[in-house]
Amino acid sequence: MARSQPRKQVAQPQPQRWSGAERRRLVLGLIALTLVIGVVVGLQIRATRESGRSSAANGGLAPDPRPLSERQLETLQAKLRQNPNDVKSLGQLGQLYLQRARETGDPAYYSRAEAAFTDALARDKGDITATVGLGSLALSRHQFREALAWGEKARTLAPKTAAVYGVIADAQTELGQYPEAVATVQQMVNLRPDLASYSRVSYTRELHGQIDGAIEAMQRAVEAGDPGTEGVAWTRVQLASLYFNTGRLAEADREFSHALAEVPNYIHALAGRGRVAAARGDYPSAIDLYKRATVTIPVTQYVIELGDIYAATGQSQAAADQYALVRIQIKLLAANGSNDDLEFALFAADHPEAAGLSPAEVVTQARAALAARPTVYGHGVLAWALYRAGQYEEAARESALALSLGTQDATLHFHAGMIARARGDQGAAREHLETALRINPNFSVLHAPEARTALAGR
Amino acid sequence: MSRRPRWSLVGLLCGLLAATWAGTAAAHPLGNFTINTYSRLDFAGDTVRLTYIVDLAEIPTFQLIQEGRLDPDKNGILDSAEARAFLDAELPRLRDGLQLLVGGQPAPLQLLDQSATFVPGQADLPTLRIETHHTAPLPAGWASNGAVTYADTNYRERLGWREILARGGPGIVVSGITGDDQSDELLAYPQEQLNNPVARREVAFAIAPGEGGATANTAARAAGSVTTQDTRRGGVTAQVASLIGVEDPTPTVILAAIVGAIFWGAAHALSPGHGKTVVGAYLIGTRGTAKHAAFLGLTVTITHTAGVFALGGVTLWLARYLLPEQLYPWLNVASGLLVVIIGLSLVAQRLRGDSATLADHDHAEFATPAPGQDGAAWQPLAHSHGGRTHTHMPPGAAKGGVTWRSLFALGVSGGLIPCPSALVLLLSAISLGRIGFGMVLVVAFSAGLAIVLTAIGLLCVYARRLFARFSFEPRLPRFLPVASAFAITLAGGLIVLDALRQAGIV
Repeated sequence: MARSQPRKQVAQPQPQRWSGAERRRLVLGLIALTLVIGVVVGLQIRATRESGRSSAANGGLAPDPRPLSERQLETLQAKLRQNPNDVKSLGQLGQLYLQRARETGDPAYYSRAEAAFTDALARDKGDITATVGLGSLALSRHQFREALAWGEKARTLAPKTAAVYGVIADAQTELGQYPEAVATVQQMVNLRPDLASYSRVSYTRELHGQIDGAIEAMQRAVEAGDPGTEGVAWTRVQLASLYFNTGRLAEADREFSHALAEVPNYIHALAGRGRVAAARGDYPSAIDLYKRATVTIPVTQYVIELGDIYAATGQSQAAADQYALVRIQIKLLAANGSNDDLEFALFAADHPEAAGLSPAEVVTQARAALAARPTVYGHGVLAWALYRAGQYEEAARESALALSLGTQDATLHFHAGMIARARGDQGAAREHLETALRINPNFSVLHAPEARTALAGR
Repeated sequence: MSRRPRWSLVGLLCGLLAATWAGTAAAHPLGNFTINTYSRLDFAGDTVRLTYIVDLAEIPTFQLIQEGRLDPDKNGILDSAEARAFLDAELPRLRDGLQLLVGGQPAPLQLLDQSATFVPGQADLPTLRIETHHTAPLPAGWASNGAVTYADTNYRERLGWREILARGGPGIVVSGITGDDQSDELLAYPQEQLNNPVARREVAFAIAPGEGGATANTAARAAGSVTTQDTRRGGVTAQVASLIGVEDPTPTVILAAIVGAIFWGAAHALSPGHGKTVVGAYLIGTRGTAKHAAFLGLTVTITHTAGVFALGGVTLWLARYLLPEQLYPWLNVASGLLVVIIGLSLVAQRLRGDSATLADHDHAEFATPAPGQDGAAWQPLAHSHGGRTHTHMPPGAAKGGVTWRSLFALGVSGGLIPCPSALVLLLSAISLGRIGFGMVLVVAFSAGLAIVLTAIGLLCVYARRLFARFSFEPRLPRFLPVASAFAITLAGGLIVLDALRQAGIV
């Protein structure tokens, strides 16, 4: 565009007045000008490089390499310094902090988000952005009942806002209110078919065992997002995980790679590629990828998975180190007043000696986790803890609840199979273990071989 | 996610939070897995002292212990022998990660003092605090070249607070960097709602002889030529850039922004430069008409728009290597030279003695577009009457007067220098992801620019017609063209000179 305009202008007013020689001279002139600019630019590049390229950091006009949200944040902060009563901007500021927390994994932004939302509500009790924001924040802190309350409050304020239903749907899902959650997600996607609603449709379908439908919805979610954002990268990781969980390693790897292209060094995508590498038996690559993922933020799940890979490859000391790190995280979590995390309960059930808990203590922890988060996965974790404690009958009941939605999850079926086997129900055991391996032959570096051994050994 | 439950979409990142979020104020608001660093440069006399502090939260401290690099007997107490062994092993690497240049010379940091201590953290876990003090002599020429750069490249991949500050002292003034300590040496992290966690990993600032003691928070004159235009940019540019920052633009807001852009374009054209004199002189000297003035305006708009877009593209592409401010003077030079060339060629033409003669024909259809032709607005100016192409150029067009080509060249030169304001506008738009909107605003800005230039042109044209009624009419035209050609040349020369001064060459 920039190049074509002047030429067009030359052609339009005086088509006949420019003789061939004149045109040639003009073109030569333009070329000469371009060359001059080129030389100048080249010299400047060299000068800039020689002077140590640090000056670019000094707020010139050079486009900012920082993410969009960070710059928007500064704009909003400046606005609020001028007018602290700008409730709308306060709400947006809080939302941006939440986004920064997701992008960086830096929890420092959460307390700032809370302060912004609280401030906004103090100035305007009915501010919808802040109300929804506090709901999202409660979800982030695993306070699902509070999140649901904020969501319901937001619904009375703005029943036509899709984001409201996102908060409600997530809270209902995590509280095990599945029929209600399905209805809420349907309302949300009707209001606004976008990344947020499609990804929730996908997760709801996945819970109900509709894997193909879940994949399709997640693909739509990816397409509906803004490329290059953390939101799209996150959604791609979800899509990749859906592929991985159904044993489609090539597709999973492709989507994890795409997520890495969206957000370089995206830790969830790094860990995902590590998981694919481990499933393919390429343990050195897997370890390398997991290390890269956990060095920035030691996400518990990835630390555990890395430990499991070390354990599977006979590096017991390295595995023990990772598990010890998880134990430290449990301690820190307890120090912060939380004793009911599902993830740690599962870790304890899988690694009782690393967790330093007796089987009975693990059961207690799993019950607390289930009470806080009564989901199908919560039942699955309690079932597994009960199995480890030798309480097979109750384990079987919990396992049945875990599978009550028809979720096609290899781990849930593996648990059910091992419990059935312990109860002497060989037919059900075979069926569940085969189902687990059919859903995903590589569902776990630890348990997939265990399932095969159990099937072979009867 | 194979064997762990699939959490909801919010779940995973939230799980991370749950593991780190403290209900009450925790020692590390940035999370139990952060590594935080603090650098303070104190200048006094002819030395600089560096205070470098590292604060490792519970998890990285635990990892160091686990790897056997810290507290090898794992008794939870860091005795002095253990601390010394740890510092001897780790400190050289940490110091290598710090780069301090004064006047382009690396400053050799000498260790004065070091310590490593356990500070009780959450859950009875230790956190580690490393404190070091270094000193370095300032290189001999610091008084004349006081550009300082400092970078902390340690723990690049870890999250955490990164604070760098510098203070002057007896005999030294520091400018271009804050001297405010925000975290009290990493002992109290602020959590104000309107401030982001500090993440400053490298700084550039300046030192100069003077009465220090406190940091002079004047605009940075350091870091070479970067800031020479900073003070200038406060006015129009800042306001122009704020045009694009509007949230959720409604039609009214968009319209207001466009009107605003036109206005600022016009205001910008009235600021010095932009060859208004040239335009006026040219049109007077060559007896241009309103049409020529309009054509000039259009050329300026289009050239300026194209120039901004082109420079915007080049800027984006070159962003890593140079600052656009460094490019402007050179574009000014190119533009000024173009004006000089036009002026000189006009002088040459005039001096050949062919003074303008009145055109000898008029056409009734002078301004009537020929039906069905492309570019109708321009077509009537050059068309064919029964075979011979001629042009409806105004009087004197053929010899020494207005030629479309020189008019075009003049318009190009007027619009070639993309105004910094317009470029800022476009780049702001790009950075906000509103490229289309930004382009529209740049066009509006250019139009504003052109409106003023055209208006000045018209003023000159009509003023000349007024002149023409007076009796000195016969002499004036002979005198004016040559004088204005000189004026053009002179103006071009001034543009070049000004640009060279901006570039710091003259």
